[in-house]
Amino acid sequence: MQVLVSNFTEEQLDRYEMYRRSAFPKAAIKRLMQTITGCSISQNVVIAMAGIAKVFVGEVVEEALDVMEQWGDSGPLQPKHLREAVRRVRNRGGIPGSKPFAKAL
Amino acid sequence: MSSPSVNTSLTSSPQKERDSKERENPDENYDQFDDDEPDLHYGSTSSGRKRLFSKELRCMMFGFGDDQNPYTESVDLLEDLVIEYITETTHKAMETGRTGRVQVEDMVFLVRKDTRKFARVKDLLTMNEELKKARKAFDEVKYAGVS
Repeated sequence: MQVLVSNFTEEQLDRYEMYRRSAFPKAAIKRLMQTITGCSISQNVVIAMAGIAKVFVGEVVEEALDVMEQWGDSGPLQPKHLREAVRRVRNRGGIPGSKPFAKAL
Repeated sequence: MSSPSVNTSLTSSPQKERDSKERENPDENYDQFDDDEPDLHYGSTSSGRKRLFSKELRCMMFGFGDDQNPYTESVDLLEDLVIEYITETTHKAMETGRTGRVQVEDMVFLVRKDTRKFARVKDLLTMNEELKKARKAFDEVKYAGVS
């Protein structure tokens, strides 16, 4: 990995830094979850949720980039790409409780 | 290329979203929404609340491969999706294990089928434990040093 990073262009370095450093603010996640549950949330849960949410964003964005390429579009991602991406992610079980197969039963 | 807010098809707001915005926050200024094209139906959840993650999400999207300046509509949509994801996961977690509470074990259980998420959660929790141990050891050394 070090070898890869040492050969990055400036743009790749920027992107990689954002990839590593971007994160959801723990305070906001905690507040959101406490509003939903009505009970207090432990630190570990917030850490886990923030991490999972970031992976979720990554899955959607990567899928959306694929969608955009398949549809022959370019430029920044558009909501239609994201919506199609979420649909695909949901179909392969990327969202708990939403897998269509289970619902069909 | 002109800025995305000028492109009407990306900023149209159907009556449904406006109504929910009115219900939740009548003071919110929705004049910015263009209703020339009523075609696009926004996702099932549209938040009347203030944007929670705009800055962080922009950085995240860029990190994951999007343009350096993502469309605001895309960022907003993603925020709604994330909040929906967190909400669904939280509700599911409340139904798992000890009902009515959200515990780490429940969350790990929920993502067990998803390799990426599962690995990530395990990593994060392990790292957190190691950091806690390291901090504790450091504090003890400091304490010993002072006394």
